[in-house]
Amino acid sequence: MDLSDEALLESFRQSKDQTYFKSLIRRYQSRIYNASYRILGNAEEAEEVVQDTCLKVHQNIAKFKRHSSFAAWIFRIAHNTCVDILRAKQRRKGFQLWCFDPQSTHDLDDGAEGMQVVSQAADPSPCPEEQLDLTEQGEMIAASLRLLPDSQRTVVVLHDIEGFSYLEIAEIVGANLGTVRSRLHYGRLKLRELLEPYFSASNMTPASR
Amino acid sequence: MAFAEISCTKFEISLDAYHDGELDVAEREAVEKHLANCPACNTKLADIDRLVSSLKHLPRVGLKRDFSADLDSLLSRQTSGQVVFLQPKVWAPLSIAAAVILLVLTFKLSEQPGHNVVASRTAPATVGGSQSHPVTASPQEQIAHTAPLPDSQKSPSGTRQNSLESERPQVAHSKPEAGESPVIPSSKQAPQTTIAAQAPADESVEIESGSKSSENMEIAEVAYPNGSFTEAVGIATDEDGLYDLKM
Repeated sequence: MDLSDEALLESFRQSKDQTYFKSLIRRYQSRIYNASYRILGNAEEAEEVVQDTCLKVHQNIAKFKRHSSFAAWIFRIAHNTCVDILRAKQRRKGFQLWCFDPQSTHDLDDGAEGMQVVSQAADPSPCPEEQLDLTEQGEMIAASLRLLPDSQRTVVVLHDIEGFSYLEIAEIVGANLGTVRSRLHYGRLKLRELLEPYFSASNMTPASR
Repeated sequence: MAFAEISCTKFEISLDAYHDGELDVAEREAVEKHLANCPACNTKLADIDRLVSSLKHLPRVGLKRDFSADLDSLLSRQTSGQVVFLQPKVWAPLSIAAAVILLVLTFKLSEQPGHNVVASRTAPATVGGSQSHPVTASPQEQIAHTAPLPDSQKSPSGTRQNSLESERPQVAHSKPEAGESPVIPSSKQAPQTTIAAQAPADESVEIESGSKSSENMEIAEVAYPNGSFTEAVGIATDEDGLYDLKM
């Protein structure tokens, strides 16, 4: 019989036996990696998030309060690491634009169209991790996800891929319920706009393909 | 119609929460009442359901490494103070850029003529006629080689500056005063006159030829000892008798 997260945690606190802690990590590392990969779009950085989260959880295990779920707590730690990486990337991007790219045409802001998604998905040199998205549908959705603003993408990933509730997401990202609701709505709205040409052409529900 | 549009706008943001079962009872009943009479919002709800379904079926990316198995080594490295986390990628290009900028600035600084001609500017200067003038190191030039730099031209590292000074060709020109005969024979008599104020012999600079291009301009070609690089050095004299070195 599998112990609950809280039971494993309590056993680890009392016995200091690393086996319990490793069971917790084994339970969450794939979920954290998958969510981080979808948020960051980079396998190496997603691994960095998992490693960082493992160490921080071990270091701060005494600070965990029972009023929240362990899943939300560990994902909050992972989310904070993701935010740090995204900010660093943003700074790097700004530095590159400032230095080398005054005539950049890589403007993928609000005006992104469905054709841009198609062209990105048809990139002839995908990284190995992206090859795991074997189906065209997976590639289309993953490419569209990358076009969302970070905050909206994070909420969409946490809810629609990882299955967290609004309340848990509010705790993970440190926002109120209304903000989570709004981010999820606008994130999905933009995804629908981006994927509309593909859905219209296929005239099928993506899940049925 | 207008009423329906306003109503749709009001309920649009609630459709996602309604789909996810995240509305309270009162909100849910209001949305259901609107959906019963609004085909457009029913279509939107179907779109939301299709999108969420496709997101749920997105293939999961597999983790190739088991961090629970590596936990002991990670924790031991952390407690021993070793750097565990991956190096941020930003440092590599930044450090390269900083090194390049430092090199360029150092090279530019070493090329500034003010380094060597500070003392020469104080020497009286007159145009010595049409013949080529011999060039050698005067006492003032020797002072210039050992004189401290102005603060604005000092290198942060004294040792680095000294090494650059020794690598740089020690070029300094002086003009004889009016009526004064040249101390050193002209370049025709000594085609390879060596200037080595305080530099070692292997770092000396040879003057290959000297000529006057205009009334107030003297030009000399300076060659490095291995002959791989030559540089034209011009001395312009103004009306006040002051002159400047141009490279």
